[in-house]
Amino acid sequence: MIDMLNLYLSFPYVQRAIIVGVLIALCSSLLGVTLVLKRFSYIGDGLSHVAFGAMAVAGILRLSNDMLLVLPITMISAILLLRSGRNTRIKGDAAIAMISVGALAVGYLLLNLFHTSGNLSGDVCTTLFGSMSILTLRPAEVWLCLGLSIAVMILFFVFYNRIFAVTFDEDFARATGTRADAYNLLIATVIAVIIVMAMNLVGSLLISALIIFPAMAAMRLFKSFRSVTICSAVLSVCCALAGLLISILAGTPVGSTIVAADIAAFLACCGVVKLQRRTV
Amino acid sequence: MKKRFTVFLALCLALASLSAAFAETVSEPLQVDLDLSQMSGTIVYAEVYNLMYDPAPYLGKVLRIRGYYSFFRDPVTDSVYYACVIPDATACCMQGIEFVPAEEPADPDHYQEDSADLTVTGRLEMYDDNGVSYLHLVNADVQLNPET
Repeated sequence: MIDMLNLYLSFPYVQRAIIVGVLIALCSSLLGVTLVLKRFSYIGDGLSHVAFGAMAVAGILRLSNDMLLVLPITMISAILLLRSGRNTRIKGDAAIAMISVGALAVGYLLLNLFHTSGNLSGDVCTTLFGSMSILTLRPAEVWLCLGLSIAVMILFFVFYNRIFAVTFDEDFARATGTRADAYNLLIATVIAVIIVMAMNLVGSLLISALIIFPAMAAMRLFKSFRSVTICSAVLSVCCALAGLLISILAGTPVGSTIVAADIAAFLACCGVVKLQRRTV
Repeated sequence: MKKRFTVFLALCLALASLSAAFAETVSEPLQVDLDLSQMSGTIVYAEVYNLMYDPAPYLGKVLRIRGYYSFFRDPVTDSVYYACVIPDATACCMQGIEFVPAEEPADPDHYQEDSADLTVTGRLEMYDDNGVSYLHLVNADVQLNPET
């Protein structure tokens, strides 16, 4: 098995998949804690469906680089969703549900009406479940992912204190002079970038798991924002690596294997907490 | 004595040339450069995708693949094209490699009668058909895999 693993790791596309997988897992876990605490756990799912719809339109328009359309549409949707919680007729969860299901339905409808590829079910399956996308990345896509990941990490670390303030008590942050709307906009933009990148790793249906599970697992073990964020990042990267390696060795679908690793980590953390309570 | 030695030498030469000629007629088993039949389904699918996207590093190499048999008969030219199809782990996407069997079967349904699961070994080459480039495995050795 070690020989096979060494052979697989020598393939350039496996190396590219590991680099991109680790970067996406790291970025998604950083913002995951913020989203869970702001009660926006399901926003990843909604936005990924928007990205699916945008990808369908980009495919119909035969855009060579679909990121040019998918990223701005997802960003606009993220901004609309995050500000929908305040002073709007449609409240947060309803807005997410409407945008999520609406974009999914319209995207699939458009793909059916104007499909340009011979394998429609294959295209839909690849977008929804990630399929093998992560193992078929070209070097240019890896560079783009690297650039976006570095941008996300820089933004997170530079504005860490402001994000922390807006996450825990937006009203208090606003009262103390923090431009909460601007930081919500920043969070929305970063989330959109992460969602679009993560579609390659786990597909649009499984993105929420990548955001929620590491954060929830870390929250079982630690209480402070910093500790939870660090633990979430470590867990997310380890699970992504483990899932990726298991899937290439066992021939299982990449996205669902990574999510299964995340679930296992969450259950393990729950088990550790229970054991600690028993021994105390 | 000299005459006997000459006859013996001639016999040896004749035997040597005969064995050399015989060796040429017996086809040597292909030295496989990339054996995809032993790899996991995820890697095989990704490898074939990359092969189709950027075939240059693979051209001229002997590949061994395992997948499902498929054939297509061109209704215009009546030519038959054989392919080994490899599904991905989610079984919604497929990659196929065309092959030219070393021994042309009498009936395209030949392989499907026994089993659709094949192992194909052949040299990867590119050919042009009406201005479009295609890849295929030439001089392919086709083995039917027993049902598992």
